[in-house]
Amino acid sequence: MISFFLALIDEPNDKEKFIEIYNHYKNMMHRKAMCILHNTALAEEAVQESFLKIAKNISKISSPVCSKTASFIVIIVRNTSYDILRTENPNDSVPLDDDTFVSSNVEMPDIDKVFSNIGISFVLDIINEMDNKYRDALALKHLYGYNSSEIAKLLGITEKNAEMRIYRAKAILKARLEENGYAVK
Amino acid sequence: MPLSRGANERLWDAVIKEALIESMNRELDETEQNIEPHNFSSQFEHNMNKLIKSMGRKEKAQTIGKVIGKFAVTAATVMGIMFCGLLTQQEVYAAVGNVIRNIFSTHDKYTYQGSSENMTFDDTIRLGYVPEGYELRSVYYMGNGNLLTYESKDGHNLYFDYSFAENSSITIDNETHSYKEIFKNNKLYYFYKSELDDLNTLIWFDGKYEYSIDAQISEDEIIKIAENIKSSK
Repeated sequence: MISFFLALIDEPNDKEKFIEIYNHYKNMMHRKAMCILHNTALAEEAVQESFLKIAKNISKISSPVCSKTASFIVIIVRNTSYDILRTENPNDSVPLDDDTFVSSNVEMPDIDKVFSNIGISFVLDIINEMDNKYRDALALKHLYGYNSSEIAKLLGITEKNAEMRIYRAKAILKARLEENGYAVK
Repeated sequence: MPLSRGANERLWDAVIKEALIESMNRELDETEQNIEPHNFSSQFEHNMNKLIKSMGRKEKAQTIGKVIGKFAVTAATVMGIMFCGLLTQQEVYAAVGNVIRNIFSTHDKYTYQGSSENMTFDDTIRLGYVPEGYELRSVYYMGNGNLLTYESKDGHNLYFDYSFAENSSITIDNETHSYKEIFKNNKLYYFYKSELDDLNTLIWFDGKYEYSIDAQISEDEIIKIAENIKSSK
């Protein structure tokens, strides 16, 4: 009975988890936001908005301090910062995502043929060189298990845009593989 | 034997996942070097405190069980006795009856035990009166509550926040604040006067929302603000 009660006490609730995340990552988040916004007040706004998104998804975060959580937070603060940047500079020609996208799958080449000749490092290079907006959407789907609707809310975009970004990320990967002779038969 | 299309897709998903992990870790290594602590503004800290306070409204029973171990004097009976004359008035009875004030050594904690089920959150509530020189600077929508910041010409901030009272709690320092209950126009206000920096706090409930105002203004001014909140709905 006592050990059960103690186990309940040892398990951090969402609020404590959030406080731990806040204390551990706020400076990193501010730095990330400053790299994009170059303005302390806007960076604080970005950090604040990011924490609001994190709070809404806190139940999906299992460990408050780990690389997986840190990466998730980087994605959130980066996209929130770009969102604020777009709001502050509406006249800058930032290309808008196509909202008429119709969801479809990307057929990838045979994986055994690809990896018998090149390793995962090639795929890693493609992922690293990818535009952040595609890589972030892909990460939220594949690493964190979010669906398009949830990704849209986290990134501040429409659900169509979220689907499109995931599609384009895979399309980029496929195109680079085809450039190296690994087309789908 | 060639892989099926489904198997090929699943393997690619696994490879992409692995590559993403590597890529994210690489970015983290670059980001986390030599991070200097940032001195966040008082408004940021205030907003974050409000956000943290707004969490845990739906904490499960076992989390509440954690608090039981720390015990405290519950002032619910005291409040009931002091305001027994109000219990004949239906509206105030509901508010007082559901508000429990726990007094700890370092802080007071107000817990509201009622239901906001099937209620729609009104995000148009604003201050109908503000002291001279104050203007609305920002509205921070937190989902189940709003935080409004008003700023004066000489840089003082006035914070007004409200949220659903259901299963909520408000915590307030009682070590550096003196406490006073004010009953006015069928409402019970809890007033905390700062003994350090003149940042006074007023808290109240109306059966649906909990409200608080934090500002460096007098008791009379803060009550006047509370008496004049308005909604455009």
